[in-house]
Amino acid sequence: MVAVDILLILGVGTFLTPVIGYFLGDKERLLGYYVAALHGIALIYIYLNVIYSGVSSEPFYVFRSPVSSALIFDYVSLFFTTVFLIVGFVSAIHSIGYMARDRNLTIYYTLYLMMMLGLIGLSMAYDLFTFFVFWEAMAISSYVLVAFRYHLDEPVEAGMKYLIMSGVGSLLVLYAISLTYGLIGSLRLDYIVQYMISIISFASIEYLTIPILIVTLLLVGFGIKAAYFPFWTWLPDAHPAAPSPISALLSGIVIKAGILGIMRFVLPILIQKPLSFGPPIYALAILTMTVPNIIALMQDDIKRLLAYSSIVNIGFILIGIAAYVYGSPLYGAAASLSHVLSHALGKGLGFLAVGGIIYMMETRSIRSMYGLGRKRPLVALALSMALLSLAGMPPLPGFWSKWLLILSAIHSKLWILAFLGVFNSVLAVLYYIWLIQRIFFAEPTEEVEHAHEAHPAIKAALMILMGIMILIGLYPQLMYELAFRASEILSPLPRIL
Amino acid sequence: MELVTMILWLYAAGIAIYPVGKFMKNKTGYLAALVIAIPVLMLLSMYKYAFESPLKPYIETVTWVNVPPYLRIDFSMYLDGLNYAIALIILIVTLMAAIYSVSYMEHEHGLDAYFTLYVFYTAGMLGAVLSYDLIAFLFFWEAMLIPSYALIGIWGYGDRRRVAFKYFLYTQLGTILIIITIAVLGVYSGGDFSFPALYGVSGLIPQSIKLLVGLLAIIGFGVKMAIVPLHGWLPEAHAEAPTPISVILSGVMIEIGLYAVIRIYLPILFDEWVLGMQPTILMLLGILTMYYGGINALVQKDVKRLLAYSSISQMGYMFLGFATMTPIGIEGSVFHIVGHGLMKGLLFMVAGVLIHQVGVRDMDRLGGLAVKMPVTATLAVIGAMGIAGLPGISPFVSEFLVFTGSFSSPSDYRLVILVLAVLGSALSAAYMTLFVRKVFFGPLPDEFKDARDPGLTMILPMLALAIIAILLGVYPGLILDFLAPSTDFFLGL
Repeated sequence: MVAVDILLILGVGTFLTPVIGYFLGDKERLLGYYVAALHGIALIYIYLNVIYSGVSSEPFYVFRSPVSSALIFDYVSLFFTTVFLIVGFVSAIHSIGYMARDRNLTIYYTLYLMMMLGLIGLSMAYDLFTFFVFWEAMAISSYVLVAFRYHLDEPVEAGMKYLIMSGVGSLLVLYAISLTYGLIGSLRLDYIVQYMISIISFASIEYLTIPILIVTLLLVGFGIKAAYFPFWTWLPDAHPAAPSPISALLSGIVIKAGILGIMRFVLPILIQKPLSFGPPIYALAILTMTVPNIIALMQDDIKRLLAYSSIVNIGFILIGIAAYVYGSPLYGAAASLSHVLSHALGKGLGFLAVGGIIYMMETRSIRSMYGLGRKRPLVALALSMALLSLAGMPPLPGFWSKWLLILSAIHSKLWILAFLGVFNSVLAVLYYIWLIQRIFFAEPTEEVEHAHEAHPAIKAALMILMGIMILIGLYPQLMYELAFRASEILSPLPRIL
Repeated sequence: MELVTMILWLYAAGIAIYPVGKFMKNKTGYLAALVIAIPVLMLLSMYKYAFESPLKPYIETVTWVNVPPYLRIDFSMYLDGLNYAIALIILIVTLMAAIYSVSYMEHEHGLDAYFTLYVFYTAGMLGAVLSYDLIAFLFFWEAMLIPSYALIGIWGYGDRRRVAFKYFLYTQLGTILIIITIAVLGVYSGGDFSFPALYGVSGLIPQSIKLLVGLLAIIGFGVKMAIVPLHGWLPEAHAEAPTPISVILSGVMIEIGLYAVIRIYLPILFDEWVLGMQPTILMLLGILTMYYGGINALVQKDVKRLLAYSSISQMGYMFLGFATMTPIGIEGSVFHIVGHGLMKGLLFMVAGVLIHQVGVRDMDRLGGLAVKMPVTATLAVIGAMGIAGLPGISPFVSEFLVFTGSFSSPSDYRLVILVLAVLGSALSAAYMTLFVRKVFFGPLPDEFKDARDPGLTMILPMLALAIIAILLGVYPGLILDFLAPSTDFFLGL
């Protein structure tokens, strides 16, 4: 079973990390290669398996009682593990350079792998119990990683804020899980969906309270992680405060864990009549896109700008989810998934490039990086490519995912959402282009003139990710194929008892 | 697979120019010209397809995205009389402007990047015109924006960063509307974006949706076409761009918007567009654009601004030709794209000669240069006569076709529009003679005593454009022979 093998590779790898770190002693930064290699092995293993034995949708039981724990490796898992592992792999390579001056790297890499293990586990979990275990593994290691440079004030404060908000979110999810178990007596996804549908469709109206409560709690709990309106307040503090490779992971893939939870466990229940969660999701999408977009226009700290843009992109992903709810589940889910992929790559590259800039110049202020393109073209090109992809320019993945989002919105007749989506897209283009213009066209500043050379590992990470983006941009079949196969599984099939 | 090869060649060679250009320094332009010359020859050798096109369409298809049954995007290219003419003019103008760039840009920095972007820009335009799939079209449409934006922003004049930003923002706003129309059409065609599939579902789209699509398409592409009141970016961008880029911007790029409306939206929305007041409104927009550009051109002091406003005015003719919704008007419109591309390219090159040889763009300070620069002056007069619509040069033929078309249009007010349009062409004559008189005749200021004609690399491209324009003016059949049947067939859909 692929799922178990992958978890074993990463799990054993995680627990070996402190041991290897202990033996490496002063050379503990070499652990970065080990971590990157683990990601590479996992990715290659998955694809060899997919090529030779295909993808099955059969769940696999780890144990059965008292609550069962089941894993699955279907197209949805394949999609999310691919995204997670690619970004994790590149960030690990980037870490080798970026974290070269830090201490306690054994702890850093152990937590890094723990977080990745949590994320990979999430994408394979087939019941809410397993999901929650991996959810907490991911969440707890991410709190510590945000506050990794604990001798500074900003990371500790941001980490605390993140811990409190995300902890509340986890508790809400846990409460929803216990309600579900009380109502149904099982936590397996297919049972939940079947019984919930029968309860919702056939029970009288007063019995709807608990399903509505469960869905709401899950939406809020996952929403805090995914950082949509109004739960995004922790994100602009936490993501900039973390070390850049971790910011890339947090913005690129950790917030997508919330989206994964919603798409896998909430959406099949939420669309059942007579529940009407359409308008709230619609409003969430609009507010999540628009409000942070306006705030982002005023940022000088480049990492904060990217962090706000992450929230905006979660709003774009919600367009697809709204389309799913309003009657075109296939295109909606596929568009959301494509945007998950393209945003993970784009935002990952953005934060990694900014990491390169911080490594070279020790600054996050946009004002001091004017004219960077003339002095350090590779890093500047990587940042521009990331921004252009987020702006939806061809031949980059953002172009292919954004128009599919608009297509899905129009497919389900959400005209206003489509218009607002493109309007926000233009607003975002405004500050992306403004930034690119400053980086390339302006005269170099004092700081840029004295910038160091970037670490070779940073350059390698940027080039790998740029290569992947151009590959997907020129041959979007890779992205669409995975996204549509996954969305076939996510969209509601006739699951009558 | 010639058409696909052409596009891929341009992109691949464009990438190769960057490292090679580091060694060739300011001779890189010759390499770029060579790179563009190969597709020109390939396209010329495909002349027969343009004639056969209505009956034996020439289509090349490479599957790009195929996720049955949800989504299908082909990297498909198509050639018929309509886009053969436009693709040819794009390549000729870019080829000439590349040769022209060699001398014009010789003192600039970063020419390796300049010519790489230049070739990418050419590839984007060519791809947009040849593509036969809506998403492929959108891909190239955006792919031609980024290089042109960078070219203006880095090598432009004056307040270039703001101008480039404005250009980008205007165009991108237009593109947004285009994307919405594409999404709407895609929903009705079930995720198949090839043009024939879209033409096929025309009947399934409700009238209100069609109206919306038409409106959004006209606004979205109108930004690129600089139809008044969406023209705000054009005078600045065209005036402040480096001159070879102005040649391309004015000469061929803005016309691609019109081509796209004709190719993509006309067959789908034809029935709606000939109803009620719509042709009249569209034709009046054309007239408004024509007059607005013409009147503004009359009062400009800057040579390149005058030419930029003249482009708006000429765009009015092309839009009028399209708005007539008659085969003859649309033929005129497309033929005017060709003629205007040649003539406006020539005139911008003349303006570039002034900047390069004399260093002055202000017409109040210029004068009497005909004595010192006889060849340039002759070419400028040919260009001015062309834009003014004098017989013997190709815009005369196309303007005549546009006027004929506007009289045969389904509108009730066609006579009024015809009279307005014909009167409007007096404006073109006015600003063009003004330009020639102020720059080349009158007393010669002392500071220009040493002015002389530029070198061959600048003269030859201008001469080539002038000769082609005269050839087409004397014998328009060269283009019209395949353009007319294609257009008739196309509108018969």
